[in-house]
Amino acid sequence: MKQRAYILLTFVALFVQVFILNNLSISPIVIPMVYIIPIVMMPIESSQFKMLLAGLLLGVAMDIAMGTMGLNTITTLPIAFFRRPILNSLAGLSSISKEEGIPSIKRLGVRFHNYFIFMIVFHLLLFYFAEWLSFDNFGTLILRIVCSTVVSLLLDYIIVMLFMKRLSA
Amino acid sequence: MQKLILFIRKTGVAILFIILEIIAIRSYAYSTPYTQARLLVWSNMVVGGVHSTFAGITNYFALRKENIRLTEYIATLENRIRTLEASLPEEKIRVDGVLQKYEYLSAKIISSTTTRSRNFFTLDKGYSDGVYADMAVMTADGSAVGVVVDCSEHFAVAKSLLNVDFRISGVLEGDGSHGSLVWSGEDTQIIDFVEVSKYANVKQGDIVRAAGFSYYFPRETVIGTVEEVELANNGTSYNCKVRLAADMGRQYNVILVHNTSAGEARELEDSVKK
Repeated sequence: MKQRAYILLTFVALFVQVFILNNLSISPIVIPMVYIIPIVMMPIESSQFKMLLAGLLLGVAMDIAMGTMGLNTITTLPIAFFRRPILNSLAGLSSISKEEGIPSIKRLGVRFHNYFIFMIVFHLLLFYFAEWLSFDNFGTLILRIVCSTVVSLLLDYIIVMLFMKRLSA
Repeated sequence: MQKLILFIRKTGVAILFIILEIIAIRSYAYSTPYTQARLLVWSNMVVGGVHSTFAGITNYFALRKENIRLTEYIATLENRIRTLEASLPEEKIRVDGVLQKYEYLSAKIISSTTTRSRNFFTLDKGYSDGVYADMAVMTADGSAVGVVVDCSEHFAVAKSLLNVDFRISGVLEGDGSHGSLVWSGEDTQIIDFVEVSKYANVKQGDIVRAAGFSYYFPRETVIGTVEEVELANNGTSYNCKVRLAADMGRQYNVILVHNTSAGEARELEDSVKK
């Protein structure tokens, strides 16, 4: 049941990203990204190798879908690789090391929000910086990051909350 | 052996992560000329200083040859000035419109490639020295080398004529026929001069110069000399092989040229296109 919910969450996040958000031109400074959710919500006990593999698959899939030749993979790999240390420090994983299943409010308490927001913002920073590749027009870059982060976080929360009950069951 | 296996087990995922990330960055870097140039600028911020030192050493050994070449060129220029002065009428001519269209700046190439299909080179001057994107790069004796595509504070990256994405307009000296210059990626000394009208009087040994309407190079910039002429498959134009005037692999001192009116011309063109 949980597995099915996780697959559905992955499918919904990718569908929303590829078919809706990528075709939605709200403004050049607002480019929401939600496709990282499957990595953020990977079960806590997942090994680093599994995480890296998932990061690679997701990155390559998004690169194919967006025609970006490596841009998404550049950003998903560090997110996947550093997930464990981030979870350790931000969500106090050591105290719940025997915990299994996806990161959720039920399992991590309010620390879930620290972890969740950090992961999303970390990904967006990497993505926009790799895309912009320059500190020229620094103001525009910052504005783009801030606006996109706010919209992305809002959408990420909506998608995750819709599945939270089923995933934590 | 056991220690090695233990080490690989411990660090295997980290090594895999680094390898995958490098592959992704490489793939992204080569996806568009922009990302390639930007990443080159970034790497130059880190390794540019080292490149400068090595280029300095190489330049030192080439100084003698370079000096002789420059002295010869100064002599040619002196001669041209004398001839032009002699032919000038007494009254003053307003030449600012002609002469001040281009601004010149000297620079050194500190690293370059010629073996790839998209070749770039790095210059030791950046925007703090007055270098802009779109500046033409020429040899000291006026042959085309490339065009600046991006710059950081102290370094600039230029796209070489030996770059399959680079296309400029050329004109046949004497005949005045136009065509496009594009590198096929096969020979580092030969560039293709294509789409030349079949009514053009083109023959081996003709000089090809940058067309006057090219935004980058001044009108008289030499590209090279025609080496082979053949009728294109469709029979409506000539395709020529042009031997480049500049030896692309052996350039150290170059001149950067800024066309001060290019921006205005481009804006006007863009407004018409809209």
